[in-house]
Amino acid sequence: MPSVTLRGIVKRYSDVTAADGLELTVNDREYLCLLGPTGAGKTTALRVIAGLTVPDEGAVLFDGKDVTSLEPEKRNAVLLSQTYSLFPTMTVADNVLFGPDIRKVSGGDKEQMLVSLLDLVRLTSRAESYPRELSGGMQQRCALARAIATSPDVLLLDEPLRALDARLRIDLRRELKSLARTLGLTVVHVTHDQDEALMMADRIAVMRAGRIVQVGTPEEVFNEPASPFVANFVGQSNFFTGTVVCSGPDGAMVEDRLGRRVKARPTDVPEGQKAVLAVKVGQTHIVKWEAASLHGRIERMLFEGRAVHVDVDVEGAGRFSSKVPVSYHGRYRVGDEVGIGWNRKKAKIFPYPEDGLQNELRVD
Amino acid sequence: MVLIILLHVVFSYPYMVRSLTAILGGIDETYETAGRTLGASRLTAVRTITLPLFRAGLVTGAILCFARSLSETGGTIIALATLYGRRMVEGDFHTGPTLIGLWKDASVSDASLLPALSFVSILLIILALVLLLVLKFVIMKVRLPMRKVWPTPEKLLSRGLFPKLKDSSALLFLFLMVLVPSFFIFTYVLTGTPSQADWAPFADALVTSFVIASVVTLIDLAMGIPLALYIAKNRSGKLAQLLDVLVNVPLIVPTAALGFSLGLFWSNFDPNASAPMALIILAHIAFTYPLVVRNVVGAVEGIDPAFEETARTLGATPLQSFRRVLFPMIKSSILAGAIMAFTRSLGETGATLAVVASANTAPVYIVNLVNQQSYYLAAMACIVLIIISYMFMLLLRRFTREEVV
Repeated sequence: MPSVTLRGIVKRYSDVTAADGLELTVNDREYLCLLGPTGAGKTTALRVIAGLTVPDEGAVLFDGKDVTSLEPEKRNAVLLSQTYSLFPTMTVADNVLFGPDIRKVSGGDKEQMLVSLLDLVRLTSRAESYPRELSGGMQQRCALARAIATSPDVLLLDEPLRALDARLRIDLRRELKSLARTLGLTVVHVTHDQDEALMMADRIAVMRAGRIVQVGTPEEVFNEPASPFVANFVGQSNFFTGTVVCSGPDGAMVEDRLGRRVKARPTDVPEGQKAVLAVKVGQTHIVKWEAASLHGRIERMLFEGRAVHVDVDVEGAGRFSSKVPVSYHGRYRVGDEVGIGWNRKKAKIFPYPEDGLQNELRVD
Repeated sequence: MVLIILLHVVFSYPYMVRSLTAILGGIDETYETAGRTLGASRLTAVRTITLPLFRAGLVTGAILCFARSLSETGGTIIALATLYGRRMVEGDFHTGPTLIGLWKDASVSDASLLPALSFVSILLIILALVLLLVLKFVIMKVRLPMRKVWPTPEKLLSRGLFPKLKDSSALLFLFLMVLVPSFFIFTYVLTGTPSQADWAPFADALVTSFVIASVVTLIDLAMGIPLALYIAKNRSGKLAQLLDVLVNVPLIVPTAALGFSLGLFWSNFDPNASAPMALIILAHIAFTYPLVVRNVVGAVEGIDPAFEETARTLGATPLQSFRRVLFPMIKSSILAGAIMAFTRSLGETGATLAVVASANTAPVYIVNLVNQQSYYLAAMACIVLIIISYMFMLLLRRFTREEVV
């Protein structure tokens, strides 16, 4: 199976730039998630790899070989689209055998392949059904079987789980991942769902406005975000804007206009520079008033089943959110004055974004 | 005049109904449901929500009806001749196309009629285009009073007797104005006195018509599908948009005028009309070609390009993905276009006469029979044509139904 490299891919449509110099390498047998908000250019990147969109600039390499101008059918990179695109005029069996038929695989091999694939995706009893007679999950599995029957080198998944209901989606995440691993496929999986990306990917590439802003393992992207945008998009974050003070090897502090100081891990941002501190919502705690340097009033509490989501309004610093264990339910009430704190190691300092924090965090 | 209007209502009525049902079928019912749950009475919901949605269908239907009426020749000649009880001459009541037919006929012996003929043709073509533009503008730009709501009277009109009255009057119209006069011919044949019939010329004409229609349809398909694919797939391109408009022109221009123009054009290459069949075929292609293109463009545009793209990534070449994926999905529309083109060619009188005045196709033959007052024979010939057309209709339905799987 090949590695896939995008080198300086640029694609402009009349008024939008869907790809603005994409640089990305997907390793052999790697499961890579392209994660980003709607309109970030994820699908364009996928289509460029598939050969369905010709980039204005840049090159696509498969195993170091330039395939930029190669027709889609010659790339052996199968695209599984959002809507599955099961051919409505063909049965499940005919759909699955579409690729082998095109390649003129012999009858016996074809039969064997069909049997084993239908068994793999548990559709043996529905071989003669038409796609519209299948449920969403079955359609998804049928499309997957069809993609695999073509014995692709690269599997390109465009939000493959989007149209499924929540529970099925979670089951299929596991199945899809293990299938890709068993077959040793190089997979590029486009999604806007951060949970899906964190759970499935070997590596995540976070995209925004036609650029890749960070590539790394799920842990890296989650714990070591490269920008406030990534910090907020992959696991929501709270932000505190101020100036860096007393920066040292053990940690740093950010002080805001009102003189409140909060702690963070060591940073490269020099003392005295305007900065923004980010800490994940899940790592922000409601603490005793006396133990905290930041205080606010509880604005809203939302019961979420496993945890309670608490929004705290901090005067002059905006809203801070936190997840409180359900067992704490009743300890706090809307309107209570509380303290907010976090582990110093969990807070990261970024230079203040040039376009302002609001623009940095925008997802459109 | 009234008779001609009635006659043309019969011809054009199906176009309007067809265009509207096509659009209505495509409109999501939930809009109307949503409107009604928001408190609108049935009539209000239809008027303010559904009607604006099918304004486009209304335009298409109106244009088609208008064009059909403007270009109708055969039926008008027959009806007028039957009415006068003799062959039509100058000074009788005429519509544009019948005049063209008459003068073209006469121009064989009297060349001085040619300029007048050209003038009428040009006038018809220009009128058709201008009226088309005006119509399009009026329907798209002038706002019908959609916003205003009259709750009480509309609620009243939505209940009880009124909806039934509306449905039954529409049904009555269909029967009295369209179906009964169309099939009256059967009773005429059954009650009339049989006359000695010589079927050979009619059979000849029928064969000629079929050959012409078949050749025309085949050429339409061969040339129309590639153009339709180009238009549908390059929607944003300037050239495709231009082609899309241009391809409609022959559909709107009266066929008699179009035929005359085509006749003049092709006679440059073949001044002695040594191959009248070829001329007629070329003329028929001009006005049936858009039917195939229209149908296929519509079908291709309705299909998600993701199907073909997926096929490509699965290893199919563009040709394979068309043949194995797209073609089966648009087969019924191609067939519908082909059958429409075929029947249109089979029934066309005006253009045929305008190209070759002495043409020997079935509709022309019937017109001639009526002109000679051989009503019985004409009626029998008509019945044969009706039965053939009906069989094609059934075929069309059958094929389109199979596709629904």
